[in-house]
Amino acid sequence: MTEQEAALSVSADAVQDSAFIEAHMRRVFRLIYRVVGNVPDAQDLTQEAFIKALRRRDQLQDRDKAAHWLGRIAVNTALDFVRKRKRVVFEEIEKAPQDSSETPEQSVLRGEQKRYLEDGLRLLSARERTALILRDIEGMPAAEVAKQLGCSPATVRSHIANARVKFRKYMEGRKQ
Amino acid sequence: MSVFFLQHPRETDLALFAGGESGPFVRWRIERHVESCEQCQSLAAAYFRLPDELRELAEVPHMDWNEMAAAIEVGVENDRLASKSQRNRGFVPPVAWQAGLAVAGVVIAVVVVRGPQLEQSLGDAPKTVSEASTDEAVETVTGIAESKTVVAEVPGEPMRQDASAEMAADAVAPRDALVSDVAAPAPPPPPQTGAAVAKLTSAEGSVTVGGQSTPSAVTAEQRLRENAAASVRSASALAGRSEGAEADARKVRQLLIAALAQGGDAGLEQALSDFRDDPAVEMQRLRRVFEQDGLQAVKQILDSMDR
Repeated sequence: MTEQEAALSVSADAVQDSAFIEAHMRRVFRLIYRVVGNVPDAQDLTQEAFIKALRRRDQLQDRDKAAHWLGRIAVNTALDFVRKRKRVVFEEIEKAPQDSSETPEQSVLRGEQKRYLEDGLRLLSARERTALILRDIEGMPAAEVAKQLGCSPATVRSHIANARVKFRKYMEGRKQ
Repeated sequence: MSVFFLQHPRETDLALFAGGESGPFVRWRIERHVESCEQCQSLAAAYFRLPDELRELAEVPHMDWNEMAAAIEVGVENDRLASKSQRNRGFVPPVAWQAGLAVAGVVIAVVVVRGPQLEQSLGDAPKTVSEASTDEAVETVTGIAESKTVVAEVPGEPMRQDASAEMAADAVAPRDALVSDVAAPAPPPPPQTGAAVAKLTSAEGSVTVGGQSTPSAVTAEQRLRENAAASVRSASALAGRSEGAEADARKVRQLLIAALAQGGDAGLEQALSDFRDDPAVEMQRLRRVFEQDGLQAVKQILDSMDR
């Protein structure tokens, strides 16, 4: 490859990468943020996920499956991180967005509720939490969750069921 | 209702039933059971509510997406450059090797070039005990730790074999260690009998033989070491500088080639104009070529480099 071709291919790659990042960044960040629970880690892991994905861009045969492929890399990156860290550090309430129409009391109540829910998520294993988040918050079909987690549909149904049972019991404890 | 429908379903089945993930048979069975079981009805209702409760967690903080995209792009670019340089380095010996070879070459050159001079400076001392003639007035005196002057004067009297051996060995040892691989020049003629006085001042580091002052072995060794160290420093600096300059030149050429490819002659001219004040040597060189010989000459240079 001549120097000219190399320079052109580098700039072409950069343009493609930029478009790819722009197209998928929000979704990847959201997925990772839901799993790790805080912005700084989610930002770092989003970057890491894109680096991993673009390093292996040759593996992507079908461009239509890019979102799914990238989602899987993102989920695995987040799960690896949580597994290494052993616990999830959720965002401080102050950093979460506030609805400008709500009163300070409502804001405090909402913050408490959110904190309570986050504490409940901590009771789950990383895989149960991820399965529950992808299914019940992201609204992904169970089969898609199974693909993202790289396990069988039966296993993912088991994760989802266990997560719901644990979470339901936790919520019931609050009401009593 | 049969006993089959009276049995409570497992809670995990109810959880999946509420989320719509149950198989048809389990779903049908739970539907039939829940119709008549209030306990399971309320439990199923709790599972139906769960996604709504979890949606509280769906919020994502406000982000500066542009800033984040830029940060990700920088990370990706750095990673690409790192992996590219790793690939390119496959056929080139590491820099440390190159520097090591350069240093070794310099040290060998110094020893070869300066070896005879050193030998000359050391040559005044006899190499072996056998060469220490009994009528030599003075032998080398070394190994004096204190800063005092020692005057050895032996008027025609044979030197003790063991004492002369000690002295000669001390004098020869550093030279042999340093120039063992270099052919030793012929020893100079011995000093005049009874006339010479060897005077060594260890603190000053000089030897006076027969009234003439020559650099001592210690001083010569120190100088050699200093020369070698300076050569190492300059070789390392040169290696670093040339590598940096080459990288800069490559970047400049890549930049101009890309400008030419994207904007043609006008693009190249624009790039040369835009980077008028760029301090890179290569850019300045190409600017000079452009001003003196025109754009075509620059294109020819880029073309030849491209090939």
